[in-house]
Amino acid sequence: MASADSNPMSQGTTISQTDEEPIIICRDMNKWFGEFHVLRDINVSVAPQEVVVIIGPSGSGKSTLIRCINRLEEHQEGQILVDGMELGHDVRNIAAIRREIGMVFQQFNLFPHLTAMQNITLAPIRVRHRPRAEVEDDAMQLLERVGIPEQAHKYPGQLSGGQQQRVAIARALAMEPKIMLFDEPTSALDPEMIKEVLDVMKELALSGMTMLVVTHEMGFAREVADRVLFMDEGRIVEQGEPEHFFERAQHPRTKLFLSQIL
Amino acid sequence: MPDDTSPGNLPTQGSRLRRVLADQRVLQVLGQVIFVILAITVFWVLGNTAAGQLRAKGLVPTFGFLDLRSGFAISESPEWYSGDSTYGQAFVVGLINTLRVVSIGLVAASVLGLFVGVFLLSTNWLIRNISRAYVELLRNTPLLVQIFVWYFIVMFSFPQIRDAITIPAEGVTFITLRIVLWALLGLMLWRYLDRPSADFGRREAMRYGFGALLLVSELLAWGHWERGAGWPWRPGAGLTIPTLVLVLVSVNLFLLGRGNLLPLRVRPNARGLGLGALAASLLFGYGLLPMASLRVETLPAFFISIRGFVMPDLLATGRFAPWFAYVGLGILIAGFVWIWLGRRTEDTGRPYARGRLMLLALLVPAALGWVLVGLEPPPTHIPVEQGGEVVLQPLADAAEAGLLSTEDRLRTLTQPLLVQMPSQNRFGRFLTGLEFTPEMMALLIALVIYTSAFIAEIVRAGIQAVPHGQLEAGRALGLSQAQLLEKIVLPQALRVIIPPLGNQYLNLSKNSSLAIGIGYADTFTTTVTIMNQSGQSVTGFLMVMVTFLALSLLISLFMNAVNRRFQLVTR
Repeated sequence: MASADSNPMSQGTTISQTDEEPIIICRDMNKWFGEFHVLRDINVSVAPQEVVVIIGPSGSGKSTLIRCINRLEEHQEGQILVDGMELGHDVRNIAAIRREIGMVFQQFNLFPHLTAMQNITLAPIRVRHRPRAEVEDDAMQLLERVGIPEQAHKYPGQLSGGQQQRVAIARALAMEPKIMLFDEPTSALDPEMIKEVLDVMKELALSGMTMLVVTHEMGFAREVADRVLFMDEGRIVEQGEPEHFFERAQHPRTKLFLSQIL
Repeated sequence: MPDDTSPGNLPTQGSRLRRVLADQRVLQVLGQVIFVILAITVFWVLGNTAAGQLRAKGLVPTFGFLDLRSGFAISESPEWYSGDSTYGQAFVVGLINTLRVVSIGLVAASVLGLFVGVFLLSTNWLIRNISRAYVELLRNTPLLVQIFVWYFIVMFSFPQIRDAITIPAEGVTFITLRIVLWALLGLMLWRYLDRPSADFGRREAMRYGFGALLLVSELLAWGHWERGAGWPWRPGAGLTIPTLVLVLVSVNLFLLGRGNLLPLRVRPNARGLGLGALAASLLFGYGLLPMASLRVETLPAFFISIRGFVMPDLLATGRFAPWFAYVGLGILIAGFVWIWLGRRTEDTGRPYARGRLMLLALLVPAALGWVLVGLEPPPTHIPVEQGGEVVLQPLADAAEAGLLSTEDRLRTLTQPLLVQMPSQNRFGRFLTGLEFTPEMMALLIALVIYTSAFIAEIVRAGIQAVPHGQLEAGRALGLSQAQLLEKIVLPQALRVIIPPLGNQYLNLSKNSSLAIGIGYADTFTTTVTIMNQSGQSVTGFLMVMVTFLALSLLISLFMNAVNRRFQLVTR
């Protein structure tokens, strides 16, 4: 894990946690939905292998932020660089960046007409052009890693929510991404299934994956995150290492938010 | 019925019979038995009465009349049918005509509906709203009215057969390059309506400048031409006054763009507009493009008149069968290539140009076969009728003298297929060519367009039924737009589309009986004529109903089979 920063409570402008070249850089990013200003002057950079958890009230722009990073949403101002490539209107860059980034959604978004195995192998075969046999072996290993190898040939409709989300994680990992984005991965799950998904995410974080996680699971943030970002009304209000962040938040808005959820 | 002796039942009330009659299971069986008895009784009474009445009026349903001479001609019938044929044969002609309209109609309505359905979801404002208007207008007006409009207004507005519209016109045609310019203009308008609002740079400005001035100069030229002054810009005519104005305007725009008069932001745009406009006005000013055209000599291939549509016919010659064997071989190889490359892609993940290789596998044997079957020389002499007796003549001479019938030509040609252009006799009757009567065209067009409006809505609904998250998941995995459509959207949309689509197919096939409104000789129309002449109305209606029932069941069977393939597996 990378957290060599001596000033954990730094605010506002770009911060990098290590000396390493950041893998994601957002500079002065702004986004509007029609008249509504969703993201305001976002400056963030994420180092390789760093785990960043984004929290904040609903409507604060957390999901929009990570959705901009793989261009599910288009930002209107500023710059986003992923692994040295600029994310703009160039479709080649968009395609290349999407190959580097895996994403896990709140609603799983598994393909209901394909089995768990086919869900996982579709993109590696079609996008990465790898041989089926090899991809299927890897997919099986991934299913073992997320703990459900016996469900390989079932359809999403036959799986529980927690199992579906774990297949979704395996599907994203099968593309061998450098970065994983999690958009409230446990919000649509029953309480007892949340743990099985969080366990998989913890294991992934320990293995050195760069992760951006939008979540309301404060326990996960405390335990796994290298850095916590707090967003409100489209701005990054405050950020820091979890221990400092949760114990000694500076900004009154952050304090209010934490007092309501902790 | 089993006796309830287990504890926990209701306290026993009344007699044993009452208890049995209160049993849910007994009641269910009893209800069904009573219903079946009632139904049988009702049908027996009704049937008996009807049969008695029909017998009294001498209308007993029989099929013997089908072998009687029909005595009426059918305008749209194969060669084997004439007034001397039987009623049974007349019915078969009607059946063939129904199947012709339904089979072409189903395919055409599906294709048209698919396109309009996709257009309904277009991001292009113009396309989206035009297709919306199309759907609303067509599905909210009665079909019979539409058929009449197509028949009595559209088909009847075509010229008499001697003034038939011919495509292409006979003689020499000039294809002016202005068409290309207009296509460019159309493309620009399209892009303009489609463009994201933020991107408007110098390059776009140049295109719009070019386009706008093309438009202006075209309009000016047209005005000039309308006044009878001819095209103003002939080659070598040099700069005319309107052109001069255009050039001045564009040069000024360009200079404005260069100079300091305009705000910095719009300067490159003005420069672009100026350059584009300059290019346009110069091209037109010197009349380079208006006059540049291709000279093509043409024979009329399509005739459109009040008597219907005629198009070139494709005829199989004596060498068609051996050639078709080669084509069959090609189809086999292509099928094999398709499957094999599909497997290779699955196994190795490498994409192959499957479509192109398959096309090659189809075309090579067909072309090879075409050459090989043509190798054998045609007979040198052919028997022809001359002055009342049959004599052998050299083939070339006979052909030159115009003594060969179509059959002779088909027999002696070395190529497997013959494209026969339409030809008329002195009275305008077509001797060769494929003819479609106005009745058939009106019915077909009306059915296709009416049904396509419903299919379009079904397609739109099907595509919209795929949750947006599915697209996002596909994009996040890096799938291309085409892969998204093929692997994610279509399989899921089809399962929503297929059941209502089947209903529309049934509607189209049954609606085809509205042919009677305009006198197209389909199953129903011919049967009505048969019934009028033979008096066998009960048998007639029975035959029509059984025919449509069979057709509908066939379509349902097919759609159910397709439907089963796309059902989702859930727990």
